[in-house]
Amino acid sequence: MAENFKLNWYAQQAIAAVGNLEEESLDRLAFQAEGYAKSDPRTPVDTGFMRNAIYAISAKRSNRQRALMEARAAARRDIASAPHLPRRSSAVHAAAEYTIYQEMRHHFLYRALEKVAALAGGILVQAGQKWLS
Amino acid sequence: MAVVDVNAKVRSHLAANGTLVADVSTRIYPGRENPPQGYNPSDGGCVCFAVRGGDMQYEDAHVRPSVQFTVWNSSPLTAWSSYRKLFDALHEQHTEHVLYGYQDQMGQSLRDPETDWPFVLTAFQLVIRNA
Repeated sequence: MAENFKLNWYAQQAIAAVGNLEEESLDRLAFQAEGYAKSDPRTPVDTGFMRNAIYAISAKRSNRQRALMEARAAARRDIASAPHLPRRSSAVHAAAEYTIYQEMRHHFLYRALEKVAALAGGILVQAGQKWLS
Repeated sequence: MAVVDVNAKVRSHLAANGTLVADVSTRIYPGRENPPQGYNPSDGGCVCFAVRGGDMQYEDAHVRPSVQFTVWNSSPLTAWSSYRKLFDALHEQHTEHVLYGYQDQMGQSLRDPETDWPFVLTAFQLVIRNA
């Protein structure tokens, strides 16, 4: 058995780094999905209210204020209240209440999520390079 | 390699389920989110479906579409009852037409903004042999 060795135990630092990685990854995934949903040419646009009312929320930040301003610039209507975000999650909120009927026909939100899922590995690598190196 | 006719496979799978057919009869409409002209909720249950995304696996041996379903009937309660029969026909079921089904969007009761007809919106991930 080896006698001259030293073991360093960095459990707390590792746990913190993984926690930061998780938060960063969830943040990037949500904001990437917002971008895809808004830029998809299949996303129907009339006044722009519905598209502008799509925004991302994470533990770190939210685009709700910007969405509210841009949506109201397109049409004088209210957007739905912000959803409750469970711990360790992020979301894309389509806050125009009739979005679901457009999504049924055009599936722009689902396609945005599919794209992000396909890219998730790369997004995780980028977040890992920031927090685990 | 051509891709299998997903609409035909899903319709055949649903048409093989006696409990669902007893409710909706032949009113199973592929490639649409709304019932066709001539349908009225007083006719009874109706299922419309359309592929909204998906991928292929095992070197294209399997097609994995995500399929959106709208289930219509004369009232929110009867539409929900029809939805439950659709769920039983698809969730963790298999036939020669569909290898496996899994609900990935829980049923949601809505009303069509133009007709005010009640319906249930849901979605399933399916696995279909590409042959």
